[in-house]
Amino acid sequence: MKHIIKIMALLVALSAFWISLLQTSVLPESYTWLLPLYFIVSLGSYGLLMVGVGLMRFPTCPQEAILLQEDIVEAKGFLKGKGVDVGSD
Amino acid sequence: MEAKEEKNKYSIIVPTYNERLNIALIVYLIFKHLHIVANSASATAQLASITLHTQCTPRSACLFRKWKHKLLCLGILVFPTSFLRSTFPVSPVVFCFFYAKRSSDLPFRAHVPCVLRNVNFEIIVVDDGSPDGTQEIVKQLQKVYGEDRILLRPRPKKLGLGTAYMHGLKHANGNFVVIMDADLSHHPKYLPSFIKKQLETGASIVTGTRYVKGGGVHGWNLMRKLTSRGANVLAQTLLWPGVSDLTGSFRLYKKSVLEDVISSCVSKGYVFQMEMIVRASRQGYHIEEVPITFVDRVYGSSKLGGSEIVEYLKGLLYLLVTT
Repeated sequence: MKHIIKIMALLVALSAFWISLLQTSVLPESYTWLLPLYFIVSLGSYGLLMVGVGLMRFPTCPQEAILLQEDIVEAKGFLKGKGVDVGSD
Repeated sequence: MEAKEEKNKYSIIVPTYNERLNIALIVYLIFKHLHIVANSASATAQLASITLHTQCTPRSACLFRKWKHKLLCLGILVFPTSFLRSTFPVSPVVFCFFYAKRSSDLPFRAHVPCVLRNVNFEIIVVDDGSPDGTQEIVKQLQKVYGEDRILLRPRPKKLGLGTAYMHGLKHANGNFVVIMDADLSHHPKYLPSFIKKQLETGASIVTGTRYVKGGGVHGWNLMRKLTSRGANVLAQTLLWPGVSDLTGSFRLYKKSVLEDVISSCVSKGYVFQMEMIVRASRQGYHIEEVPITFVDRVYGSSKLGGSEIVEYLKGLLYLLVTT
């Protein structure tokens, strides 16, 4: 099943739920009309919150750069000994 | 901890362009971390110089994975799971069933050096006609390490990453294929953890992820991290891919799986990497993740311009509609 069809089905189900809420008047009508807007806004702000949280907790590894430089020195030394040209590019 | 000796051969495909120095360093590091001969005097010295963080976890529950895949196909719980799993620090209780099997999310890890002995591997260098003499360096390396271990399969000019992989795949003799970048942003020290993860779980694809604990990135400024994070959240919301790092290109594939997936991909550049992993996920292949560290190019950070963002969004839409 294609992914877009899954998303469409989800949206159709949500719309059906919203229309049924409108018809049966479980909630006050003015509130029900604004429900999709609330949904989109909350989804958007949740996404932004997740971007912010992820940015704060972004994993960094400064020690890896140092280890990499050590590895480069070790590799250059070995390869020079074996006759491979390791002049800088 | 040692892994069992397995009769598997790993073909490591490295596409290069103007990587005269880096290709030699990469070949040395691959041999350092993979070519550990059992019961030799130099082995203990090699082991002493290797310290690896690995996810030495028990075999994951295949049952949960099968049911998660079934439920994914029905689209029942994917949206909250992938949204929350990739973003929440602590997963809600109701999803911990499916959460626990992701070994890369476990809070406690054993810092055990992971060593594999007698790994049978070959390195396939696909050079796109580099003008700086990369191919001469590879020939010198072949004299040092042997022509059966390092295969040079050049092409006349720059023809694209996807075709480079297909070209390397034609010459691969192993039953597993590893793809990695030649600019030292992918460190070969993670190769044993890829192989070990695949042996433990029997996965078809093992992909390296930079965005989980244990992995990481160095050399990115705040804007770059922001765009990366925003792109990741957007892709997770739209595509529900089942992996945390879509654009990463440090992966281990079963050869048959790579041949199958690569034939159906049409994108270029890093969208190609996204397309491969999303298509593989849609077709139901077992995908596992391993944290890796990514040290960005030391010489001038790679700029992410407006055109690349547009290209990324177009790629996302394309994947949304066609997969």
